[in-house]
Amino acid sequence: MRITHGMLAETTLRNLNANMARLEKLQNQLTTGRRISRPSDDPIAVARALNYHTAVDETGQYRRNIDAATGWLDATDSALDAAIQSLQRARELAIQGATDSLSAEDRRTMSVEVKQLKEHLIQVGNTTFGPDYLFAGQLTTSAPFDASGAYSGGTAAASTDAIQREIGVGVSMQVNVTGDVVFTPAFAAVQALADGLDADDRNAVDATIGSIDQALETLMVARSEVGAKVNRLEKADARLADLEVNQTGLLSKEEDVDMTEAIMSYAVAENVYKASLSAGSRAIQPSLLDYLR
Amino acid sequence: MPGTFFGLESAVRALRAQQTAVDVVNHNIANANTPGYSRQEAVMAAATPYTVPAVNRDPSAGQVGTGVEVTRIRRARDSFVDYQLRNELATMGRWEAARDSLQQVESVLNEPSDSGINTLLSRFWQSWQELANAPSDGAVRASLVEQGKALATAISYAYQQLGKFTEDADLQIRLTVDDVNSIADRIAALNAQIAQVELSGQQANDLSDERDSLLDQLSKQVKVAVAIAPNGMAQVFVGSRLLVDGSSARHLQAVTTAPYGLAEVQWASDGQPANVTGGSLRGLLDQRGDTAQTTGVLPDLKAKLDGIASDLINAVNGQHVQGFGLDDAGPTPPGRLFFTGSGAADIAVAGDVADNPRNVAAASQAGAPGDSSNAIAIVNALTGNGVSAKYQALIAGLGVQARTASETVDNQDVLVQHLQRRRDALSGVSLDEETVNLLKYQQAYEASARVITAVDQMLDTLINQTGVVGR
Repeated sequence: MRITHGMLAETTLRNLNANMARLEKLQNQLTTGRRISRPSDDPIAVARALNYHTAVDETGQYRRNIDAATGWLDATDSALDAAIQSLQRARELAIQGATDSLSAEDRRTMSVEVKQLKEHLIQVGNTTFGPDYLFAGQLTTSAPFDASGAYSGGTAAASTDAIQREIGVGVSMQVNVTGDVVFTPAFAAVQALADGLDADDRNAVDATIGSIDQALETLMVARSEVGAKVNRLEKADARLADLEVNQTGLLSKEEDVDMTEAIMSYAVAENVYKASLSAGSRAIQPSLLDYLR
Repeated sequence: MPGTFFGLESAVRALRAQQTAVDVVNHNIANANTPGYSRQEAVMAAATPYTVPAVNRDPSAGQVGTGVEVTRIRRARDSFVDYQLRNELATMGRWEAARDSLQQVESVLNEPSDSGINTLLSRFWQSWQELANAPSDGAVRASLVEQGKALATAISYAYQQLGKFTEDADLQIRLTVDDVNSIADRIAALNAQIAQVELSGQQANDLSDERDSLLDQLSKQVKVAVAIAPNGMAQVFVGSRLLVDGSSARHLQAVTTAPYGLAEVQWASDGQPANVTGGSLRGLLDQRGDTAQTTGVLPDLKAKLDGIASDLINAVNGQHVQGFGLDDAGPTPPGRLFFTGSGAADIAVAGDVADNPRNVAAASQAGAPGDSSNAIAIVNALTGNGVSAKYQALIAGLGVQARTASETVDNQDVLVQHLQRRRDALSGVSLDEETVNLLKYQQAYEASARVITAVDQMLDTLINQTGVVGR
């Protein structure tokens, strides 16, 4: 085949350009750290990468949801603990108040303490977590208990009781307990104790021990349920943490460039470019005219 | 025996022939770098010998040669390679138009990135989750509304840009039609000139080169079939109709058509649609789609994006109308929409939600600020109806199309380059070759000049030296 000088020049230019294009692509990968910068670079990888992005965001969100739920449950646990301790003190006072050897004066003194305990219990019942009242069911913006212990929060009967949190795809957990279930019996029992002490009625005081026990039982059961939920959430979070690591790893495999490989390829491409420059300069210069006198 | 000055005449003929050959070599060297130039050579043949067979012919020994003459200046060109190259140029033009358009769309959608619609969909979903965690929190509500606005804006902007690309493609189609017409005019003019030259028996080499170059340009715009008529004129067909018929050019026209005001490519003479099968015109038409916007790459993308937007709107609104905001009273839900609009063109966050985030319906009952069950239902609706998956499929489809176009262009580039090399191998000027030819003709010229000197001396002897005995 006839080769002309034009063809030599054309070939040199073309190959130089191709080498430059390769260098440019590798440089782009190195500086962005990404293997794919547009869908046409690798369409299937991009589709997978987008999917993994969404999945990682999802998993992260569910972990945040679990954090929020755990916060609520922990606050509930502390409040219930305080309530249980108050109620146990009330029980001591009830047992003491039921002994025969006390005078009416003594009983009246004890009644003052019992009334203080009731106020404290009401205060616990109105605990807040951030802007929300813990024990008010869904009516979180107003205190569930008034000064006398009457409950005005959400109830199961009105379907306004449950605070739900999504801890996984389609998995909801109720994180609250409503005040009417756990606190109202306690208030009633303590009030009965105070009334009995005020009336200096030993038998009445004795009778409240049973209801105080029942109220304590309700509180403890509620507390253990809260504990069980916290455990469950911890396990769920550990699982999601592993999942997040896996998903992030998969995403990185699709999207990120292997640095060592890219740097090697860049060095090779650079050498090829230099070689083509050198070869081109030697090929396109001499012609027959240089050798004729 | 031939006449006295016969030798002179033969030598002079030789001088003329070699000089013409040198002129041709000169022309070749001068045009070594001219794009589209085919090298020329002077074809020499021995001149008609003496004597011609006849009854009264000269009886001396014969035939005696009468020297050399240049019969024609031949252009080195392979019309088959031209035909192949034009086909491949047409394919390349088509896919280049497709690649450029698709790469533009890729840039606008900007995936994968942190500001693309995929991420915004994710953030929107996350905002509803945060609302479910804290339904009475004003800051969370405000943030949700902002995410909704960002998502709606991104979708409607992308849709708008696709519309703009459609208009751009339409404009380019009109400009290409103008370009095709102007090239056709020039080819027709050249046809007339070439026919005149060839009629008189000469070769219109440089004019043919110019016409071939125009035909190459034309092939990139629209696929043509070329037939050279016996009178030297090129008949150029688009589809099965003549674009250039000898010295007259038939024009195409781009006619604005309802309902979208897009151009249809027709023949100017009778308004029939032109059958465009290749070249950048075909590529642009494929991208822009037909005038009713029912088929085509851009209309298809717009339809998919629109579908995604309407799915999103329906999923969110379907649940949102059943819920209650913080200040709504029961028992019937206020039926408030979160998104207004029906598709990608007009999706937006509803005014009464945007102005007052307390109206976002997180609760399923009135007066229950801690109730997040409607928000959770919206989350599930968003997860369940596959809006994200549809969008990812759109991006993957776009990526495949763009990659196919780009790889086809690269392949065509290799093919075109290969055919160019074949053409250059035949038609290109090699300076080494021309230098050798130059030497060749120069020496022949010098030798002929020598012959003239010898004959001249002989004639001198005859004329001046004969018959002077004793002078």
